[in-house]
Amino acid sequence: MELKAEQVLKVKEYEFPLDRLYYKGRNAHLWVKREGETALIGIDAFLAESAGYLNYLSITAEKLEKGEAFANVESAKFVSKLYSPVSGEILEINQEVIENPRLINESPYEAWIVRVKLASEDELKQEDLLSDREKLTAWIEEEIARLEEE
Amino acid sequence: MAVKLFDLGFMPWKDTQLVYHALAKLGIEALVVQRTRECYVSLGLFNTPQELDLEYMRSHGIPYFRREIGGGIVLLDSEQLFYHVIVHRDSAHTPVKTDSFYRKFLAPVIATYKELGLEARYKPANDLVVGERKISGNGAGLIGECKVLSGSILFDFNRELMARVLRLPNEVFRARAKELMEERLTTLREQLGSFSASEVKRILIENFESLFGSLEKAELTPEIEREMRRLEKKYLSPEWLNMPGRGVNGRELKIAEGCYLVFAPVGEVEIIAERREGELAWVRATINGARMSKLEESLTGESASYEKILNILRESLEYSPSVEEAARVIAGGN
Repeated sequence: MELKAEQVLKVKEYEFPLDRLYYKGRNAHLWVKREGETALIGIDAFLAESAGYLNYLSITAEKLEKGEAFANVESAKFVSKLYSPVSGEILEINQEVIENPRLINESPYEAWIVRVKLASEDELKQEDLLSDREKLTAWIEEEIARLEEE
Repeated sequence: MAVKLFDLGFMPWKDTQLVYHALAKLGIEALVVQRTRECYVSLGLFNTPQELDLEYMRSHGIPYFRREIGGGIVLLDSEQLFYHVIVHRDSAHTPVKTDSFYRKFLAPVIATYKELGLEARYKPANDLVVGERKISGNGAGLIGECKVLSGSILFDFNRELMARVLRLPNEVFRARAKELMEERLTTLREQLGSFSASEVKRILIENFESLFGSLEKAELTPEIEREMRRLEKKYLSPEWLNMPGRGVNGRELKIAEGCYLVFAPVGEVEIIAERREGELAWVRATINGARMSKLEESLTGESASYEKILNILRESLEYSPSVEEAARVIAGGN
């Protein structure tokens, strides 16, 4: 479903659709979006852009623990980890994205990585999951400033 | 707290890998410099043993390791000086952006080559080159809570053996791979003739000290040794070594940044192409072993664009889905 312009937050060149939550913990830059009884997890536009082209992606966990690594991703010969925004059970892995991780660079909010069953309803009520415009803007501006300092 | 210096001299082959993994897992910021007397192969995290000629390696006593960081397959031996930089991901001196990370921590290596009289420069993503020839390859990644850069200064390099340990599609491919390595890689010995390995190490450490400030000399503690032995069990286990990766990759071999050799079969037709800085610099096309000169001429010098290559292949070959796949492999995502 196409979102209206006011439902998308723009911080400099980065867009953040507000139909989902953004994981600030560990500077993970992952999004989580409820979809019925499940939730989808993917990479936000800031990470998709700053990491460069993603060449490889692999899922390393069967169960997600909040704040723990669940995937390896390689770009520019650097292997990073993805830290889960929630605890839960992986129900489905998006094989299309595993085979072609560049889909994440091209379309970070469509290219979900895993579908999960949340460990509890409280998983989406954590403080480090942001959807508030002001908090999200402040965090992303901080992150942009860190990059610009380099 | 000062960054530690582990100047470890010669170490058993697997310890040269285990030590920086252990330091990173323990969160110890350090520069490690070391060598080994043995010859082995190190795979990047996304490489798999299927990319190696394991039978050849077994018969010649060449072991392999699968590291937790990125980069490709490398052949390591006594003619290299290894360096590993381990820094906390959240340290003030650790850049967030991968490109900045490489630029910052490869600067002391570049300065070392310069002091030795070589005009080395950084070529993204993470090669160091002299002229257009690669003189140092690097891999990096996150281990535990630390970012790690791992690379080596090539005193000398056995290209013949490097081409031999890889599982490649055929002997034409292997021979061309070796030729390209001769052309695109270089070493200190080739550039300088003679040099002192200990002097190279001294300059390298000094240049890292210019970056980090004074390094605190350190030795492997029982805690680090224990961690190395714990990790040895994991990293040398069949589960780790055979973990899925990017799949069998006889189809594309990276020689240096911007230089790839690819293998694209279409039925009985076999195409080997060298993609250099976005162009097809060399092509060998055969059908049942016989050269297809017209197809070779059409492809050679062409830009490595999927659409262009697909059009050329369609003009020469009967259409099938494998023609599209071949065009994709040759173009390499361009």
